[in-house]
Amino acid sequence: MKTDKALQNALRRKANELPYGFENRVMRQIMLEVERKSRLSYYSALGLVSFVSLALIAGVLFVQNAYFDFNFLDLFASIRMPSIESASVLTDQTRPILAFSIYIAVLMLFLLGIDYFFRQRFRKSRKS
Amino acid sequence: MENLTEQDLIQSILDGNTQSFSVLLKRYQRPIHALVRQIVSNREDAEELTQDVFIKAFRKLDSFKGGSSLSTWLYRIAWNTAISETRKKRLIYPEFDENQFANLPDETVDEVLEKENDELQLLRLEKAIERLQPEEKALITLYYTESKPLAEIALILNLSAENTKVKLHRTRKKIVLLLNNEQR
Repeated sequence: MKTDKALQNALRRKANELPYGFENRVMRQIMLEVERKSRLSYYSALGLVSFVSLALIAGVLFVQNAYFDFNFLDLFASIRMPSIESASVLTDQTRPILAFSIYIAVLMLFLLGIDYFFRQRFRKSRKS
Repeated sequence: MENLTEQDLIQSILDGNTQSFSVLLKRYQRPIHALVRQIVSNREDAEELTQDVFIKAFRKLDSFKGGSSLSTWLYRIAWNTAISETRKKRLIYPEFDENQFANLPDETVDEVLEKENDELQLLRLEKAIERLQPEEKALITLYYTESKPLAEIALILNLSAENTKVKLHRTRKKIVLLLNNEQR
């Protein structure tokens, strides 16, 4: 192998010009790439689930339309909301049910709040 | 982590340990930059392209099957990235006819390229290298700066081993012809 010292020296002068902070800049770009990848996979999964759900609904409607006599839309059209007179809503009989419903609603909100709080803490601890 | 083998390093990155990529980066950033820098000439472009090379490598790492060494694979990405950039610029490179190559004795080439030079001579050599074609620049960078064997250089530049050897021989002669041309 020829050493060609002069040629080697001329080539090496340019070879050692890697700028300061290059590694950090590339790693920052890599982190952005990782984030982009995870966002992309989240949206593709969401798209896939939406597509499959819509396909299932379309399939059900098609089968129902082609092979059965009844129609879902007629079924929904036949549903009527009961008419409630405002004066008769709060009676001695309905009051305990209303109180119980409010209790359940507050409890649910409280549990959802706790769930949200712990999820945030978990996310923060994972990030740090 | 610094002592991980290539295969372990790749597996670690593919398993989601992104920080392992910094080990790969530390190992290869200088040689990859040296190759790109020599091909594209401009310092800023070289830095940006080297960055692109590593981002491409990160994106395609799962397609690396281990048919060649990781360094060869990275050099191939670097070569393809840099050559695409130079093609956009449509530069014109000096050509010499066969007689000029034939009339230049190998001994003269050896003598010019072997002797330890002064600063002025090094600058002239740098200028001559600058005027070479990208493939020739890549060839001499890989051979002289990175000490790669001809078989590996052939793989990186997508040439046959015999062709690589001939091109290296002609490139050495071409550098001397460029130096002579400049002196006139």
